[in-house]
Amino acid sequence: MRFGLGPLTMEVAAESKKQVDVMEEALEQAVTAEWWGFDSVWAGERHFTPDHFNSSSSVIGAALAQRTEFMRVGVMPVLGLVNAMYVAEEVACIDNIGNGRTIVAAQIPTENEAFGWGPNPFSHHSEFHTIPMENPVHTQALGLDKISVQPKPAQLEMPLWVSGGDAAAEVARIAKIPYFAPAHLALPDLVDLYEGTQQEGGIVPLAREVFIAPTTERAYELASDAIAGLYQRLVRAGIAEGSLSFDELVRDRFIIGDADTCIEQLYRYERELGVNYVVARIAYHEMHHGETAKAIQLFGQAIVPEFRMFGLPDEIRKVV
Amino acid sequence: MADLEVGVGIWSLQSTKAGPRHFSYLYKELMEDAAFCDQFPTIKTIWQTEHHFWYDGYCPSLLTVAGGIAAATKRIRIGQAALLFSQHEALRVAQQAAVVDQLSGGRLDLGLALGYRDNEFDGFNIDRRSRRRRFEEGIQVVKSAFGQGGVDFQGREFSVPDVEVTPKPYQADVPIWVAAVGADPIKRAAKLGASIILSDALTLEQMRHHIDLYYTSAEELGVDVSKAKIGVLRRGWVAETDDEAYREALPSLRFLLREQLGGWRYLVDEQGEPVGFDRPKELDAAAHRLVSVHERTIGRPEKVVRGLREIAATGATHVIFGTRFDSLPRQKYLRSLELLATEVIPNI
Repeated sequence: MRFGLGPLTMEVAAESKKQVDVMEEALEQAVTAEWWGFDSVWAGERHFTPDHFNSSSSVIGAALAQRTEFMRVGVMPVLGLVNAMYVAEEVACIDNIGNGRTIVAAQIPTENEAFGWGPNPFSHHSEFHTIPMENPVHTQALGLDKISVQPKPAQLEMPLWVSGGDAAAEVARIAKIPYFAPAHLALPDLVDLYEGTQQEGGIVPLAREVFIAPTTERAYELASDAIAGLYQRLVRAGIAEGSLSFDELVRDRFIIGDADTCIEQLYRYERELGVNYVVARIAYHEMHHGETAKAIQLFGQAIVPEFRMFGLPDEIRKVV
Repeated sequence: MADLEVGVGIWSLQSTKAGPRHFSYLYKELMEDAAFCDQFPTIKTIWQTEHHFWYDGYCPSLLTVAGGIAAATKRIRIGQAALLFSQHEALRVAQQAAVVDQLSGGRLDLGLALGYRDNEFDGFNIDRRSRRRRFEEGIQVVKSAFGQGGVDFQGREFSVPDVEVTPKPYQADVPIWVAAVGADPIKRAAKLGASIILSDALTLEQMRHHIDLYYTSAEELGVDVSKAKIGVLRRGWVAETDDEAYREALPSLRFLLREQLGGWRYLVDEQGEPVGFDRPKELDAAAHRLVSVHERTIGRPEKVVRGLREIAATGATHVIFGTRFDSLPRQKYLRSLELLATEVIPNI
C-alpha cells in the first residue's frame, strides 16, 4: 500500500492564525512527510467556501512541487467549470517544476461551485470542447489549424484519477481510471461507489481523516476537536452532510488512534474496498504545528513499514 | 528625477530551436534564479511572461509558476509581464492571484495584458474581437473578487452571480499593472488607475510621450494615479566591460528580436505597421532599430547606470531589466544579475 498526505485544504480555522502561516505550515508538513517516506502530498481545491479553503490546487501544487524533491504531488482541480485547456497547461507546468511527479485527481463541482460559475461559462461546439473553435476572425494566424498544449508534461503519461461522489465513480467506471473517494464518505457507502471501478492490478485510492499518536487516548485528545472542526467546515461548504455525532463519524470515516488501531482500520479498508493507496489528512489547522509533525513522523515510522516492508520481522515491528 | 525601482525578467521558459532544453531544467532554473535574486534587496521584483500553444513551450500559466516562486523565495515580489488576461476566465485569475498573494505573504504584482495572437484566442474558444471588453469587464470582476463580500457582476463577457471568492488576497490592495504598448492601452490603464508596463520597443522620446499621455489621460478622466507606477521593459546585460557585455548579449538579443518576436508580428516598421516573417527586410530593420535602443543598457556597470538614469529621466519609476536571454550560459547571466544588484542599482 502507498500513502499520501492530504488533501491539504489550507482553510482558515482560527481567527488568531493568518492564512499565509497556514500555507507555509502546509508546505513544511509536506517536506516532513517526504522525509518520513510518504509517497505523495495532495493539494485540495474548493471554490467560494466560507472558511477560505484553498481555491487553486494548481498554485499550491506548484509550491509543493518546488518544496519537495522526490514525492509525487497530487493536485485536485475542480473540472467542468472552465475550459479544460487551462488546467492542462497548469498541470504541465507543475509537472515540469516537479520533474514528472504530478498526479491529477479531478473533482466534480459542488452545487455552489456550479452556481458561481454559471451554467455555461465557455462556448463550445462539440459535446465538450471544440478546440480550436471554428473562428471566422483569423487575421494573423500562420495557417496553423491545430492547437497543442506546450510545454508537455515531463511524464510520458500523467496519472489521472477522479474524486467525488456518485458522478465521480461513474466517470471512473466509464473512463477506466482510478476512483478516489473523498474523506467525508462513510465506508458502507463506499462499497457501492467503488464497485466496478477497481482495475486489475490498478491503483485503488482513498482519502481518510487520520490522526495517530502514541496512545489512542492521546490521539483523540489531540485530534477530536480539530477533525470535528474540519468536518463542520466541509458541511458549511456544502461538501459533507451534517447532523451526525462525532462518534458516528468516527465509526466509518475517521482513523484515529495508536499505531495498532490505525493499522487495523487500514486493513479494514483494504479488505472491504481493495484500497491500495491511502491519502491521510493528518494535518489539521486547529492543531499545533508541532503535534502534526510528530503525527506525520509516527505514521511514517509505524504505519508505512507495516504496509510497505514485505517480510518485516515482528521483533523489528515492535520497536516503534 | 523619480526614484527608479528595478525588477528583473522576463522568464519565459522556452526551449527554443537555438537553445533546446528539457523543460524540467528550465523550470528548476527559474526557481533557482528566483532564490538567487531573492538574496539582493536591491532587486524589487522578478517578472515572468506568458504565451500559449507556441512551439517552444513559452510559459502558459504564470500564476501557477508564481506558486512555485513563492515557495522558493522569501522577499522578492512576483510579477507577471504579462498575463494575457483576455484569454483567461477573470474569476479564475482572481482566485489564483489571491492564493499566490496569500502564499507569498503579499508579494504579488498582478500584470495583465490583452493578448494578440489569434491562435491563442482560438485555443480557448474566445473570439479575439471581444478582447478589449473581456479585459475591462475582467478587471472589474477581479477588483470585486478581491474586495469584501460577493462579486455579483453582470456584463457582456462575464456574468458572475453573488458568490464570494475565498480566500482573499493578503494585500489589501493588490497592485495591478497593465501592459500598454500603444495610445489606447495607455488611456485604458489611466482610466483604471492601474500601474503600467511600457513596451520594450520604445525609444526614450517615445517613452516620455507615452508617460505624458498616461498622466494627461488620468487628469482628464479625474482618476487619481498618484500611487501608480510607470514600468518599462528594457533588455539589458551587465558585464565587467562593454566589449564582454556586447559579445555575450547582442547575438541573443538579435535572435530574440528577429526570430522570436518576429514570428508574432510584435515588431513594427517605421510606419507603425506590424512586421513578421513575410517581410524579412523590414523585420531585420525593425530588429536593428531595437538593438540600438537596448544597447544603452548593455555594458559595464557605469554605462548601464547611465542608461537607467536616462530611463528614470523620462518619468519611468520601475524598469524590468530584461536580462534573461535565450541560450546564454547560466553563470554569465547570474553574474550579470549580481553586477546589476550590487554595482548598478545602488548607483542609479
